[in-house]
Amino acid sequence: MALLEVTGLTRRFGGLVAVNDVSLTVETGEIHGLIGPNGAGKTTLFNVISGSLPASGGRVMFDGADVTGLPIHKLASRGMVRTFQHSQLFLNFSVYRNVLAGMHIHASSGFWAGLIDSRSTRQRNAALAERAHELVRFVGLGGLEDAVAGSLPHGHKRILQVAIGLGPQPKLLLMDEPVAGMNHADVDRMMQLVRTLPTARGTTVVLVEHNMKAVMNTCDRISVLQFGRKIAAGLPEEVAADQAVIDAYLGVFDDDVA
Amino acid sequence: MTLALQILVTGLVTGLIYMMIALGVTLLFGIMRVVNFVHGELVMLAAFVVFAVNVQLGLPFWIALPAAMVMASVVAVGCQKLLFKPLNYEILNCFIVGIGASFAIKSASWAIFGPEPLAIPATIPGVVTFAGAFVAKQRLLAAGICIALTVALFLFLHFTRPGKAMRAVEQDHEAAILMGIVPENVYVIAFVISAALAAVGGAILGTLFGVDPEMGSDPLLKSFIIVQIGGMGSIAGTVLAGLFIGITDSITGTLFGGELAFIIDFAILMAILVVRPRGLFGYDV
Amino acid sequence: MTSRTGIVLGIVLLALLPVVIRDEYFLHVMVMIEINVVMAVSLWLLGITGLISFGQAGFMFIGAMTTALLMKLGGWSFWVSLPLSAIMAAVVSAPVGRLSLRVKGVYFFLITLAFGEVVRGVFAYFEHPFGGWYGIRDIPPPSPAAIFTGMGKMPFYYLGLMLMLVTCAVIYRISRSWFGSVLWNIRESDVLAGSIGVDVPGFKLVAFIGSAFFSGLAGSFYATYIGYISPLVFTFEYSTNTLIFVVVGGFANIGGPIVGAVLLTLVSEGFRSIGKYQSMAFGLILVASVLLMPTGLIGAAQGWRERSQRRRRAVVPAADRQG
Repeated sequence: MALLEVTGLTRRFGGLVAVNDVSLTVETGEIHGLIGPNGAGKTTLFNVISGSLPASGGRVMFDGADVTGLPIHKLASRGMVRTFQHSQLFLNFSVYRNVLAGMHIHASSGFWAGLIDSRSTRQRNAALAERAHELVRFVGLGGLEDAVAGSLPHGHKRILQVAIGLGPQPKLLLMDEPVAGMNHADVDRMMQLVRTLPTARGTTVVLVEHNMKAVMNTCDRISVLQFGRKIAAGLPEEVAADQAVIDAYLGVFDDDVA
Repeated sequence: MTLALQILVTGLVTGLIYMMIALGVTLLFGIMRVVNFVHGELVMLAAFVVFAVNVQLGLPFWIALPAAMVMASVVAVGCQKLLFKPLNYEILNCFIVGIGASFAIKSASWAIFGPEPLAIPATIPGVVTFAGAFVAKQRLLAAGICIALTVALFLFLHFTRPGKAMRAVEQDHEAAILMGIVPENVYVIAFVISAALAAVGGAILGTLFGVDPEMGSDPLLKSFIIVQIGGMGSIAGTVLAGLFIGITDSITGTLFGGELAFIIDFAILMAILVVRPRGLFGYDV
Repeated sequence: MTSRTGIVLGIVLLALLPVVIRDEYFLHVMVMIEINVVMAVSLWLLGITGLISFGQAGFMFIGAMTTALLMKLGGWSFWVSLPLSAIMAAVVSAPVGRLSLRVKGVYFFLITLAFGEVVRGVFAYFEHPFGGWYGIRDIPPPSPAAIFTGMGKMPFYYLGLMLMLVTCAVIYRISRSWFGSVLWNIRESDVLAGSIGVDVPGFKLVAFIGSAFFSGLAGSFYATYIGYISPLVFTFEYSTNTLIFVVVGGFANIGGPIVGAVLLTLVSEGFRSIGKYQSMAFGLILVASVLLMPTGLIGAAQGWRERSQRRRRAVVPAADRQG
């Protein structure tokens, strides 16, 4: 059974159909890319799946359950976490505190226990502190734990986003343009990190990206959207050779594939 | 039937006045995402200016009104440059600082003018009747001015260069800059226009209901409700909501007495928010 | 450790104060400070979430009205009315909060503002039983009457002191708990908090209800202390004054609203002789504070302390800084 199963998903804005009857599946342990020319509807599709927008039609099944229309925080507690294109961080907090915040879901043995900081809450929190440190090291931000998040260079900010997103130990991480605005070195670092996620953290990944090289080199399978419809899906080589895809991008592929 | 028509007419006129004041709020918010709390005091100050010029100096209303508009614009731009700009037009800080400024201005007004309401004689005395309903000619004048200004505002925004620049900044801040529009200049125009609308509202309210230091609070609060129902930043929404609130207030005022009107307005607002948090035509914050 | 002894010392001093200073007017000002501290700290609790309410006086009024009605009309004891009043304020705040939180930013502020006015409007409109614009007078003091009528303001001082200390302790605890840290996170970025599983609207609502609860508490005490409540007291201006306490005092920790409330209550009493200029003074103080001292007094004090520490560190010769 696929981890994520999107069936016939549609999203309308007034008269405009941004996502038109899109179906796709993502298997556990996969790194799945979602690409398409500008205006193809990838971001909208992404937002509908991740709970930021309601669907106008269709269904999203996650881990065997129908999660269509659930709000973001409920999806997160079920194991589906998203990152943001424009980095959302706790800018005034340290790197460590940012990552620790991600552990929220596991941080309290219950509402009232959390309110009064009972002993069980404090014990859990000690364990979580340990995990937060480990997570900071895992993503490669080892020496920067005390740095203020807002002062980090762009590439580090995006990596911090991933670290926060990994806090809830998600089964599925939805990444919205993870390497947007990054230089080559940072792109490589990020994609290397992404590649380790299924095996090292047990996290399946779906990412929306424009950077063709990154997508082709990292993803196991790719889905292509154009004008709100899915026009192709499959292994990177298959998709790159697909005539419909080539037409959609008007030859952009040849320059960007490594 | 006559009573119903009377209520309707009174409601429409009052609604038009509040609508016009609310337009100033919505314009400012649509373009700059700022709520200027001093707006209510501009209404009050304008009324006092009209009193001073019209009654104390004896000059005609048609001189007093522009004088009030100029004075309101000066105060408004003063607030913009001294208070809002240093805060980078950040919503919450501007809101709070505006509250502080409005307290100071209102207090000063109390100190200078005292609590007794002052009266401004009607520009056009007398009453007109139709279909059995009485309408003071002054109210017809008020309605006329409001409608004329609203139409003028619409024409300004859609057919003049500065107006189109304002709409450009409202729709896409960065694109407007790329096109060579200087947002700061647009902001000044926005403040001036919203102040002018407030001033006219104050002048009219002064002739109809008298002038006193507290007179700005009610219109401001009503404006907030109107603008939230109609949708912040939407002119059409404000117009519709303003008229709607005016009529509703007139109905509740006749049936239950004035104080309940505000509560009913609030209840209506809450009801609308349940279904549509952005108001009828509003933008997201 | 020093701060803890400092607090204990402070509490002892406060407890002994009325023994040392017997002036009734002084005690009255102290009671007003106590009430204002509770209000300011309750607003601060809400502020931790990133929300600001401009209608706190509304919940205070609800608490006051509940106590007034229960004690005067129902003959109930203050000790029962007090918690019930706070609970009533909390109960009303739940649906109001749910609806208000559906809207963001400025819209939210406006609704809280309007709510404060609606509470006044409702109580002013219905003369029976709420007293209309005349309000309710002759609200009885707490029992035992012997203590609270015979000994001047001192018993009220101690009652208020207890309420204030309990409120501050509870809210302090909350702000430092796991729950509190989630609130701080929400304030930094509610979008991010939601994405990692925080039920943001839920947490905000709890903070909103909690803040209303303590405001209701303050209102209840006010009713029995002053003995007279009316719509002319719990105005938008009162809500704004509470806000000014927090803005001027500073936001970073619970000390801010406390400092702000204490200082500005004293200022406002000082202005009482000049009467009508009080509002102007507060307005100007608010403007000056937002423009010139955005982190408030405690923020400024902290910045000053950090800068003097840095200066001291800079004096250390370069050789010693190695390693």
